[in-house]
Amino acid sequence: MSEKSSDSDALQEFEMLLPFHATGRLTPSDAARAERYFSEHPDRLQIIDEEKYAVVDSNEAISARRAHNFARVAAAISAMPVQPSGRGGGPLNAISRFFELPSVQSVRWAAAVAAVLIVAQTAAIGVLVVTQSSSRFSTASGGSALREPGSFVTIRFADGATAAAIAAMLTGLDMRLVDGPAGGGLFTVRIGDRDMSDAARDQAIASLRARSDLVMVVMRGR
Amino acid sequence: MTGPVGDDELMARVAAGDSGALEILYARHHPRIFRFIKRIVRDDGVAEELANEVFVDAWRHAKSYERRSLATTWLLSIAHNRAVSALRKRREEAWNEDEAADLQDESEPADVVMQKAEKGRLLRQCIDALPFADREILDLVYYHELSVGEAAAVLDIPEGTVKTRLFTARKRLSELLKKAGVDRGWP
Repeated sequence: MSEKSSDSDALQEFEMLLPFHATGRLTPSDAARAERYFSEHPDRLQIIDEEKYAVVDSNEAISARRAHNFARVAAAISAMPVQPSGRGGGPLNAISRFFELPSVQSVRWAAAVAAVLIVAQTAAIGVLVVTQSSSRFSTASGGSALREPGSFVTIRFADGATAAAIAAMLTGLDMRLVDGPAGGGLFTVRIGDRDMSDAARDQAIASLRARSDLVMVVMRGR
Repeated sequence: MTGPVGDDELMARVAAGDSGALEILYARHHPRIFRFIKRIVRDDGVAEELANEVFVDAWRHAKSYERRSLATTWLLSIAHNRAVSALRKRREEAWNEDEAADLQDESEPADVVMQKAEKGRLLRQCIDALPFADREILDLVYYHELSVGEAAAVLDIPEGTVKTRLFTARKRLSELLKKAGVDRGWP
């Protein structure tokens, strides 16, 4: 094999790995090699980034809210012939059902605490919505303050995120909660003016995504 | 302080018959699963049905879940099988000739194209015109942020095939972009 074809093979081998660098899923040694490669081929880094953003945008443009319907799943599993008890309902029902089941004590408490946390978190963040939206904007009809002019994103906060931490983060980023929670614990956040540039919008979204300790998912608003 | 329960523990509860744990898993993972399927089958109604079936399957087969893989990976694997099976039933071709033809019909000199649409939108349009297997591997890597090994587990293919499939998808994307008037200079 010639040296030229060997170089070509090595280049192709690297190209196969580069997309995983964009998501931080390379081993440390491969990541270091990729960094060196990108320093010499910045155009390739741009191509990868463009692809990633396009794929993420395409996915996040799909609203899963309307399809979110656990009741149908609950109905399906309740119709199964051999299954233990436990049927549908909301998180509060899940808590009560939980204590009816025989289980390992530690697992039982962990799941119970999780269910309580989810309910408590949703309620606490819901209070933030009321506080942040009503203090700045109100509609003539006294209805939802959701559509104050602006640019919006839909957010699902991380499970352990507290309302205080979320409020601090949003204040620091000059954003605010304006609606929610919707199905799946989704909230709407105003990230800026309606005419904010694409670059500013991307930067705002990136800032939110960077707070992975508080933010699980950020979707572009419609 | 006790943190929120992890997916592994929820799966253990589901295996023990706790539908409440399944509901929490559903709330946590449904949006991603729905999107993953929708991108393959391209139909909201079908995707909704299949996404729900994924969680019914999770309920049914929770005892076979092994902690060596992430619950996300496991659910995506079920979703992949469900979606591919549905596609086969519908006898859809892997390569969507109609959409590809539409895209090529729109091919015009680069300056005209760039006047019509900014690059990002064109890129998304070309990604959507790729065969489902190409879109799927791009989604798994870029959106679901799986590693090579995790993507291999979801698709039930060797890791080397994951890399070559991804490479091929990206090359095909470049070809589509080129036909639409955007030369990325790669490959």
